[in-house]
Amino acid sequence: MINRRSFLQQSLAVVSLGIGVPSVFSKAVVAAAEEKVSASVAGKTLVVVQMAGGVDGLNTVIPYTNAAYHAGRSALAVPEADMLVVDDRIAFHPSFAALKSEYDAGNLAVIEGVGYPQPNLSHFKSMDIWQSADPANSAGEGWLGRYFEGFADAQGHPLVGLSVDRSLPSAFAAEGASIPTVRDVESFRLQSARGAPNPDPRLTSLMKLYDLYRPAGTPFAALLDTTLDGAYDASIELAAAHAAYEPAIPYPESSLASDLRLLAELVDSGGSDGSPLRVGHVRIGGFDTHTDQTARLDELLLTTSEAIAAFWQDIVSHGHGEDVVVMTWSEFGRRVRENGQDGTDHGTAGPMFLLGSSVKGGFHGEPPSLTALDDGNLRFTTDFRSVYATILERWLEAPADAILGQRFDQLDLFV
Amino acid sequence: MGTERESRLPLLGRSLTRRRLLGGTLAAGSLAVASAALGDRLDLFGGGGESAALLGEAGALEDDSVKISHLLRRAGFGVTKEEHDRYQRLGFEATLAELLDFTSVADDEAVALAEQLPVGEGRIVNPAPWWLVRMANTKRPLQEKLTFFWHGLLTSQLSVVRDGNAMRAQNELLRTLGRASFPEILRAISMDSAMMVYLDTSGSRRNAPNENYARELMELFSMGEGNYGEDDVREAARAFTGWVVRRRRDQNVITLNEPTFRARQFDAGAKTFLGRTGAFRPEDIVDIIVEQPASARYISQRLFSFFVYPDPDEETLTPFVAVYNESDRSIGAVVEALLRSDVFYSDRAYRAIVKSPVEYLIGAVKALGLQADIGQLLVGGRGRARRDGGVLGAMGQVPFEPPNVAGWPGGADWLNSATIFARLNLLNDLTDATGRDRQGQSQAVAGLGTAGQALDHYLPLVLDDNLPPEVRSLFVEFAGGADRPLSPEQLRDLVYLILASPQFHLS
Repeated sequence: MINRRSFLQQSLAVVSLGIGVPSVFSKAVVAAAEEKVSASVAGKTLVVVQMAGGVDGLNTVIPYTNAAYHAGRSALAVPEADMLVVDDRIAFHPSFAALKSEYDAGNLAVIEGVGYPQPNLSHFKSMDIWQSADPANSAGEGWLGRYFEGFADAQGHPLVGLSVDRSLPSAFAAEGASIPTVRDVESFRLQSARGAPNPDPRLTSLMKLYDLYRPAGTPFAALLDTTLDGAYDASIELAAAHAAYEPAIPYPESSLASDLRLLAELVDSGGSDGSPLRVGHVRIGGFDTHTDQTARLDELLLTTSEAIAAFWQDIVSHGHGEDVVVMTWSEFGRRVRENGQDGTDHGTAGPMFLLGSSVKGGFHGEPPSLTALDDGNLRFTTDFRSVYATILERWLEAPADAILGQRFDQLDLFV
Repeated sequence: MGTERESRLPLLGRSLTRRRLLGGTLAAGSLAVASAALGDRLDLFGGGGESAALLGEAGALEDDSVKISHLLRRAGFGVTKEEHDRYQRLGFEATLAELLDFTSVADDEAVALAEQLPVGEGRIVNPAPWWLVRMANTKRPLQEKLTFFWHGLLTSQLSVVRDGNAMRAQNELLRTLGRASFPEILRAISMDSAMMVYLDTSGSRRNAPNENYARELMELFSMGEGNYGEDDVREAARAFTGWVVRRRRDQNVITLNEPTFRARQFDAGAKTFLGRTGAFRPEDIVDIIVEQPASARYISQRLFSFFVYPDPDEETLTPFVAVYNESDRSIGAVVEALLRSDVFYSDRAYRAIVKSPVEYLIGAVKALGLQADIGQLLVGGRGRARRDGGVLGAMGQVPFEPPNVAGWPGGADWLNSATIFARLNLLNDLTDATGRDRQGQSQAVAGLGTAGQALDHYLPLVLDDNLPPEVRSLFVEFAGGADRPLSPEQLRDLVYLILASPQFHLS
């Protein structure tokens, strides 16, 4: 397989299309000829796991000896016999056994009471705030998009960032970077017609069509061209990574596990040069447990915990334990007091998890009070942007102040 | 949420233009270097290197034939060759009149065709193929397009509701009331069984009201975030207590009953909602919402963004808000005003919307003359692909299965590395002759023999015959000349290329 640029270069040499090559495009072709597009740079990888819908933090990291917890959760309190006790203050949800093992091994950090001032209880607004890291302009660029745009050492590799999802998370939105999204590696290829020769002249013409469509004032024309361009390059890299990979352990049967496995393949694809991937993003949804919370949360936390733990073991087995950190986030926690339908309504602060050999395991931040509440909701104790700032500076070695637009206190999250 | 997402569009558009223009630099060096070397983006935008293709699409809608095609994309799902020819003969005014007066057009054939589909197996009957057959075959395109609009706004997820017949009933409700007054539509959807299960109105009780529906009703359905407070959410939630939708289980098939009211679980006390106080019930909450100026703007903006272009400015939107307010909040009046407006036929509106996957699929299927077979096309696939919604899932839009209560974000979000492959691979499948008819002949190329004939057939049908000369030359060169007889495979590949054009992603 050859990548799109060299493909076009070769094809242009043999196929006369009777039209001039636009100047920008010929520059790309020349550049690609001089420098291998897939140059890789050793570096650290951040894997972001979004737990969408608003995780009930209080039933995940349970303040089980706090009377206010039991007072607010007469139907939903996790039975003490089932929970995974950490100490005389906190226990993990019973479904969190796989990650509890990582906690016991010192690889899991729990940051309690994470939120932001003037919390917004809309899923969509709050997701935008977390992904932009900018409550005042949450429709702007994503915090990781700003990182890619200015500070990731891209080297033209099409997979410095990868979202495994239906659509690009707005955390990756950027003015100067276009990050690929894939649903799964099998379907991520551009099909040729049956019996097409290789290289396929139809494909050459297709790429030319997108390159030629540049009407003034139509924003989508450029989007279409860059999307197809980036997708083609990424599909070739990803297929190669996938073909070369053998997971060290069986992954559980879940979309989240498959999505994380794809990131593991990519992390491993750089060989001795190190992973080309700087940031990967995956998502598990369904945490909006207004009703029937107990059974739903049992299953969701089990899926999450087991998928992340399997990914982590696989990463470690392939020798990348020192190079990968996993971070989870959710747009908000849930109300302290349960509602009348065995569920909980939208709340505010919640815990974040950070997993890795380089992570300082244990509890970080100040536990939120369960009695000093605002409208029944927790007051946050750690701003999520402090967590971002710490990861940017200490893990990705990027200037957090510039990316986040202001200075945030850093936490002691890394060894 | 709608406005937030839409306001991001210009940002993304600009940005990717920049990356596009900098493609060579990005390939050669780091992004940081590229950013440093960038200078003023606007200079680059207006800079040199303009080819004929850069000159744009201004003035295209001055042509009546293009106006008709534009209208049929927005007020419908595109056209078959026969429909195209018929509407072009009718002319613009008569086409618009027929679209608007759709209740006087018989649609029995499409309805009957949809009913012929085999009912799906398994625990949940999926109404998506039924609806897609109607979309592809209807003689009332605006009716289906409006139903599609409402389905993206007042939305529910089959996987949560788990009763396909209840979802179909919701769809019929949206079809029946598509042009009614906004309060009438909101009152009806608030008491729709599928919606009441989806957003937890069912079972919400006075001693602990569930806030889910009250919040989404205001945030997503009627006003937009920022136009109410958390107190309003709590108070409105009290008004929606007391209702239950019972589920019946028969051999694992779930059937939802009609909602029933249990007075003892209803909070009959006084509520203070958006500055008014009273013993409000659900219909009162809707009535107070629609009196808010924010609500008039919100629904007008959603309609404008769906039919005309995303993110209109205040001044552009104002006349349509006025139509809404002066017509007793009639949706039909706003839609008609939009479709008759100058802005609808302005340069700004031309190819200004990214087709949703459903529009892309139905548009391609109709252009290729495969609309009668769409049911079979959709029933295919197995395993994970089937569960994920097959080709539509790969493109990112399975009817009755939006990603969440906000519906599909749309716009630039439709286009990413995975979905663009899915769109092009769909065309690869559709244009391939395999299994399409008993003679082994693809309907897509039936009756065509040369590149010239294929271009004459397809360019007006799918690309408004509005292309820079280089693109036309590219098609001809690909075929080896306009008059050379082509094999079915060569024709297939040419038709694929025409439909795969970037312009066909846009409406």
